[in-house]
Amino acid sequence: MKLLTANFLSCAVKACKSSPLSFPLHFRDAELASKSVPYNPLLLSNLLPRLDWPALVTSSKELGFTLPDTKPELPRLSTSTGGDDGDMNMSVDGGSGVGEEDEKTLKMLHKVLMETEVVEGKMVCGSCGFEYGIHQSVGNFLLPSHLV
Amino acid sequence: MTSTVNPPLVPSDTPLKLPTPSTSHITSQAVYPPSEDSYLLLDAFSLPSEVAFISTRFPAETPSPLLVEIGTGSGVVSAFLAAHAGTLFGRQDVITIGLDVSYTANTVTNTTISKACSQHPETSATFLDCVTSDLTSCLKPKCVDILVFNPPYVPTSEHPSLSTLRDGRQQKVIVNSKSKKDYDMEDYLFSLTYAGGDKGMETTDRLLDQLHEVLSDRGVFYLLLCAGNRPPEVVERITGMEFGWKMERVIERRAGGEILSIWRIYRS
Repeated sequence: MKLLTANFLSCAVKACKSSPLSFPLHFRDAELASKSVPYNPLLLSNLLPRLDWPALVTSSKELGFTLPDTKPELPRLSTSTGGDDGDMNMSVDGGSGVGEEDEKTLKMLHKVLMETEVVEGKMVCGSCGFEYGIHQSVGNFLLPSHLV
Repeated sequence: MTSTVNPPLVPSDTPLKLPTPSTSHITSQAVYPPSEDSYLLLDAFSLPSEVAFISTRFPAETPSPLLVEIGTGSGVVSAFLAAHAGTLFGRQDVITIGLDVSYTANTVTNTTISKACSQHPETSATFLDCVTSDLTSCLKPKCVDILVFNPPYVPTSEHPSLSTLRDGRQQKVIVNSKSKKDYDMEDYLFSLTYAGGDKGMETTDRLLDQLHEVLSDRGVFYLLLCAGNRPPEVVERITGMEFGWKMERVIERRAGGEILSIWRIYRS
């Protein structure tokens, strides 16, 4: 399971959905692997506005990564359709290239969010304490019958 | 008839021809193979009118959409949508998550999607993960932008319970079954892929009840129904809810003894 995925998961117990403690779930006993994913700066810049940054900082810290306390300000990237072949070309609004600092931030986010895999481990709800297992990178969120 | 609910389909609206993802790596008998219903979903998303609808609903300057499929099975639908995101959604900065109650399905879907995306790097979205989950119960509320569900829609006298999966040990991949226990598990998992209970709607109804807690404000839900599910009754129920849903038919096709249709449900 990618670290980024944790930003979209919360405890499956119905009563926990409304509790702020059920998100993010807390990684425990995580075995990590690094999995190569194509670098996509456009995706990162368009994803950032919808991410829960404090939750991401928490998840990252649990897996041994330090993210800045506040959400980085990145230039808005956009695609332009270049030529008749329909290739997508990357450009920054305003025409300038991505600055060196921004590029560094994007690469760091890519490594932490996209390329960090939890292969084995657990995710624990801060509200009810239920532990969801992660096995071969697949999280198991099927609750036992008595909790449904 | 449903024709009173929908504008007539434009005859010139023929689906784009995009390659279907390979599922040749799947040997497990416990996984639903790509079938007529799966292909109807691929065709629905390939209609130029649907491409236009989604591109208008999720313009390039808006935050990246999250695409979620419930019950991925072989993974062919998610793989198709992920591999051709640039063509079908007008943007490649889409993230996808696959959900299935079967660990075996999740394992094969991981491969189906990853393979299809690596074959189409120029149009592919970013596939995040498969998660073992009953419907969308693992997701944070209101985060799904494009939801796809090819449910267990066949009307059956009995509706298989999930308790075998819920209360058992960590599921293992069911492939090349040799023991009676494995064969039984295979049959059980396969029954979960199609058996829909009363009117074939028992699983779908559970999702419809919580749809407003699942979709984002801009979210769209694509649902496959068969005639036995009584689509006009579903339309009446959805549009009668307090959430301002619209429900429109995207495509319909006769497949063997069934009439299958794909519907989109969203807030206008």
